Amino acid sequence: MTKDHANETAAQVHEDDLRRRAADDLKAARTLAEAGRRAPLLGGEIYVIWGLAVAAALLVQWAIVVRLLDLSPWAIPVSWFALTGAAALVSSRFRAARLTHPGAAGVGNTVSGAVWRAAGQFLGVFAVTLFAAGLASPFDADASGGERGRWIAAGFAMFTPASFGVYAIAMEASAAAAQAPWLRNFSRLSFAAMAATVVTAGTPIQHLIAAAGVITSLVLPGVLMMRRAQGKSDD
Amino acid sequence: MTDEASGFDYRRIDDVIHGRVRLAVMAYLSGAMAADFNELKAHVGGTDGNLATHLRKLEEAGYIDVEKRFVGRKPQTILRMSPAGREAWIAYLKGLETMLALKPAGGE
Repeated sequence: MTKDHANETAAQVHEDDLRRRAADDLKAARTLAEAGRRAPLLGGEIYVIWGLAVAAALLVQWAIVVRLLDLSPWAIPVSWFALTGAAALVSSRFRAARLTHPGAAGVGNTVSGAVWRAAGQFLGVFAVTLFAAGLASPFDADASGGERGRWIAAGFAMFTPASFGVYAIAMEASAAAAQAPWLRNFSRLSFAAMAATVVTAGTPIQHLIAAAGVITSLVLPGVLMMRRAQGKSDD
Repeated sequence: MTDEASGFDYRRIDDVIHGRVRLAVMAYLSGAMAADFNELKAHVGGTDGNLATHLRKLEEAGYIDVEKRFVGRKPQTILRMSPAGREAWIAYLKGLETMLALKPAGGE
């Protein structure tokens, strides 16, 4: 073996070694990048709390409308404000705890948090404005509040389908950002609930359908999200 | 320095990233966008002090942004890959890919 040949062989071995190490580095980097990308979605508790509160408010509203509960119509807005206020209070504690959970700062949870925050703000402003407009132009169940009162009543009837549309969009965005395709099924359920509540708008059955829709499209994915987050932290 | 046998320029490999812990940090942050210190430690390994040293090097190079905040009464350190870090990371990966793609001298 000549000296040149020996040098060439040594260079080849060195290069092969570099390649092997580079391949190993790339493989490890890919695994870590995927681990970072696939942090579990957090906030399942918040889905459950809001889902239960909204479902309860819808059931109370239905019971008052069909006179199962002998209460003044004012009990409807009171129950809504009480239940959603309690949900906001309880969920704020979970939201703070979520910040210390692994994956909380990741892209999936950041996008999901931002989308749901905007969704909540939209629904909150919509509901409060509608209620304020209703106070300014009183209406009742037989729409005797005049033309404007009928529009306000229609706004309330359409608030429910709009909410399901907003849930669906927020879940679709969360699913895409967190690479959680399973959540898309609940987005579709939410769209189905939207359609069902449009068809039944203005009738008492809309409240029952909406309550069932909220349970299946918010509470159920919330429970699954909690289980998945728990499973990841147990790994 | 260029490896004459393969034509590969080793200067393309960024020394700031090319260390086991720093490479792992950059890889994790490239996927997660941001992570807190404990989460990063769970994936990257090492001691607090060791990881902090490597994070400081990445921060000094401008590759990561470090945010210190309090959650309730607990301090929390959030690490984010900066735009410069993302560029450096992409360049680093390209360097590695080049190294892997180049054919050995005389090889076919």
